[in-house]
Amino acid sequence: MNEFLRNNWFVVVIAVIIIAFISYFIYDETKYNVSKASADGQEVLASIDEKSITAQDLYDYSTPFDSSLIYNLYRNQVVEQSIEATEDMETDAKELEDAINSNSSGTTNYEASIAQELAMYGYKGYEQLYDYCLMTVKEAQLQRDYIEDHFEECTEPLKENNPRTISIISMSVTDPTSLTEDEQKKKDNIDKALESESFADAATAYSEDTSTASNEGFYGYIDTGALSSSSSNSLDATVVQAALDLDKGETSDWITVTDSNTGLSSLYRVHVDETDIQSIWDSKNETVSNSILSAVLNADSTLSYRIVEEYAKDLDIQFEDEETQNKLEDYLAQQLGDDSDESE
Amino acid sequence: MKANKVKGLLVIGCTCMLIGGCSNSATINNASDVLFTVGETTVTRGDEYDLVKNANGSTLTIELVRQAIMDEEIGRTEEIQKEAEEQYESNASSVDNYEESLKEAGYKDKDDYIEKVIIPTIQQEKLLDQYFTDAKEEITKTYKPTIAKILECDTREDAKNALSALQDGKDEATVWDTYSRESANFSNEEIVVSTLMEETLPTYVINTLYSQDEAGIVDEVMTDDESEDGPYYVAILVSKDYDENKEKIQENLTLRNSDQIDNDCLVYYMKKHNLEFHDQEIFDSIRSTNPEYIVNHPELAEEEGQ
Repeated sequence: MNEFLRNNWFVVVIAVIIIAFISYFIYDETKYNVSKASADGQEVLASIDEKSITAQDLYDYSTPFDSSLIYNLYRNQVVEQSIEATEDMETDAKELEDAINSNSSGTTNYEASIAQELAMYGYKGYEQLYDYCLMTVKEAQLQRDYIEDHFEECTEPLKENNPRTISIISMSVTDPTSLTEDEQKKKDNIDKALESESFADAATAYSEDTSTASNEGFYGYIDTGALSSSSSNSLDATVVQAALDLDKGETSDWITVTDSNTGLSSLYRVHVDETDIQSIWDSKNETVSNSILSAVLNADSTLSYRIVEEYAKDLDIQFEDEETQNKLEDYLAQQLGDDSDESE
Repeated sequence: MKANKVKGLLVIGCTCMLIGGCSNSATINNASDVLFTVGETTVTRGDEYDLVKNANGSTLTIELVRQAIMDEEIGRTEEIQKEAEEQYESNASSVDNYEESLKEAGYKDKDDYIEKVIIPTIQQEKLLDQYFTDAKEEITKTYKPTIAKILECDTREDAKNALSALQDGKDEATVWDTYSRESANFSNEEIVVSTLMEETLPTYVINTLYSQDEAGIVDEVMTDDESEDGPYYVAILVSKDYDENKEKIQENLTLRNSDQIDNDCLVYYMKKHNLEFHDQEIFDSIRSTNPEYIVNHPELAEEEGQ
């Protein structure tokens, strides 16, 4: 043995170093692996001294408050089984998935955050993001189909919100109370153009709002919801209010808007293109079409639940657990009942 | 053949060790119970559990740990039960259909709400009181609490004159009136000074008060190391006896940052009761959000703090 070590000492040293390296590597890779435990046949999540917190404890602790999760699981299945995915839907779902990813990818652990959010909607992990997106697209199609079949009834609550599509012309000014010569000239030119041409032509020729000028000044759909601070609408409330006060085909006077953050001022003229709900609903513009769908659903918060219930009637749904059935029925009654009280 | 089989098993074993945690995710016993079926698709209790765990597993586990600690440390005595009943009655008397609204929120009945909400709230208050007794050493080391009077002056000259006047035994109120800067944060009143005041008082002043052994005037004019033009501080250490001032210290620290104090309290008792996690997903989630809760690996919280 001694002779063997003497003759091969270098190989032995190398072997010891390799074994030490591998041992350290295994230790380093596994030092934060937890040890599984069970207590009274239950799988344990955590323990303090002799007491165990089991998976069952976690489930029991959360189930009294899981009505919305049960509903989401039910809704997902009703939607999935009520409509076949078309190629267009799959494309839309992929676009939605990409949009969610690109909006979140700047944040740390974004996949974990998305997975956590998805779980609340009934999807088991980040890898199901596409499934969630496809369900959302399918549900929107079901909602569209249902609303089209019950148009008068479904759009009645929206009438109170003054729905309309609008166009805008804007120009920035240094001091709205004292325009420069160039600014005054441009303003006069816009006024002249509006007297002799259509709003769309004037907007194309003169508007400085780059996102709308290339589309004949067309801004899109608004209603009274655009006045809310939580609205994603980018127009100043003064412009929105002016647009809501006009009838179809009318154009506002000049409106001055000063951004409170930047101090920059702009002048606006706003024009109402359409106020008829059916015409807006039939719009070929995808953004307008999506906006009015959301608006119809928001105007009556029971509608999305009623639509799911309507499609559920055609499916074979069996509740094996009475408590779950009661929970779902109570949840639906609460969503439908409470909201109908509010709307009365 | 046998040697190959052993080698194969070894490789599988090592791979599992390296992948780590692949099977350390717990589930419930009745996971295969069906809740409902839609067409061909069944939704089981296990599906629901997985979602609850993915959505809020780590938060809910910590809540259950907190509850277990409170039951261990404080218990559910008759006195607490009585206090909870009284609190419930008081809430119920001021809200119409109180019990109905609790049922709508998911509680079974009055007793369920008392059990799950009111008693834990009372236990939490009592645990915090107990923490300020049990964790005297940790609290003093972290927050360096003292009772002191602070005079804030505009110029070093004013501060020097104020210090001399105090050392000569001049009336404190007069010294404060004479030398205190107009926008001073402190008056001639005893306050609890702690590290939670680092936004309004230089760390040097907090440390100097904490390191002074005897009550009395601090024998120097103090200022922020990074500030060249004041303010300048003169201070009187009134007391650094923790036991004597425990209530004041507790009230002040909790008022200044109740979230941090609650968290410190929880971590203290997690350590005392040797909290360990046995589910890899829960462990990983807590490791990324609250590494201080992984008390058997304190290096994780230290890494986070760096």
